[in-house]
Amino acid sequence: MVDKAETLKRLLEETPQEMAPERDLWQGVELRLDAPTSNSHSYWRPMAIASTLLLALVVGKFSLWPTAPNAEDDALIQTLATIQAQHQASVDALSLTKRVDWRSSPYSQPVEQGIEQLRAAAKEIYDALKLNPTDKQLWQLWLWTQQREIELIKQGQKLPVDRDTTGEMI
Amino acid sequence: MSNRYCSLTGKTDLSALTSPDDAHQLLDAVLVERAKQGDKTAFRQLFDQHYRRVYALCFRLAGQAELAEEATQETFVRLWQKLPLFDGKSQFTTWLHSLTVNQALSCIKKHKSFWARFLPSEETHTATIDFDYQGVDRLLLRLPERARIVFVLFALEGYQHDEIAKRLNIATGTSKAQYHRAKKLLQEMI
Repeated sequence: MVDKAETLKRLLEETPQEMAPERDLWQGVELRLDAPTSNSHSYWRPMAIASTLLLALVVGKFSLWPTAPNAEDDALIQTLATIQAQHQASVDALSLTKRVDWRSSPYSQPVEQGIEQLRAAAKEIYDALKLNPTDKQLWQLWLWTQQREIELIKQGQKLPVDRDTTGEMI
Repeated sequence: MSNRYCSLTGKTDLSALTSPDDAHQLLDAVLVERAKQGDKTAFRQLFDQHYRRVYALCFRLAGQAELAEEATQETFVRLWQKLPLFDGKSQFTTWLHSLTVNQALSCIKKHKSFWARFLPSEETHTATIDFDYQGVDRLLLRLPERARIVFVLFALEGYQHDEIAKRLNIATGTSKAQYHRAKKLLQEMI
């Protein structure tokens, strides 16, 4: 064990301070130098807060002043459809504003899989919510899936797209 | 250093340099000053000077190349944004090192928060070991994430356990325990 401790100590002393990445990282940095610093998340948050407040108001109203069950459900289902439409508009807007086709990136597959999983989950939750629109946990889960989808799309758009342009730095 | 740094906007006194480290610090200071004014060429030179060191730190903390590449890019984008806040009171390399650790830990946390939902346990680590890596780097890839991060910061980067605990939001005792765990595992791997 003493020998192994010595070996480890020697290995640590020999560890180089620098390592070279396999691809050129500068291009990805340079593309983002002129990007606004705080716009990446700013527009989703107000929408999420507004949606949550709206949801709280709607759910609270119907909890405190219960009316006919069908009227409650109709109002919530309408809200559900409105938020779904807003979310879809956000996704479409992101697709329109993207600068490059990040799906050509060699690293895009995990992101695409993640997005597909989220969309499938969101659809199931959406269908469940239509049947049971007063379930708060389902609402939270549904809004979370939408938020994560937006974040993943944005992350995907930051991926490098052309491996062939890599090369030695100097 | 700070006096020399403050005089950089005027002419540089190369005769005062006594070692290669001094020369590097002076070059950093000049480039930082120009990059602060929005000079991307100077920033590119700063990148070329430091990206290998930044990548090494990110790779050892993240335990995988792709995440390390992302963390390295995030670090330099953040550096560009925060450069005007650098006042030259500390060495640029020290400041960049701290920024790198923050960005690497942030990237690891960001990825974990999503993917951990689909993975079976917190202790999941890189399944495929890349035999291109040498020495400790090859062994570090096989450590559990938390133990690896603590070990890298303590044994390779010279952090104290209380600093590590603060950065990772854990108890000092936990940091010590993770270090000894990592050390034991590494000795078993040798």
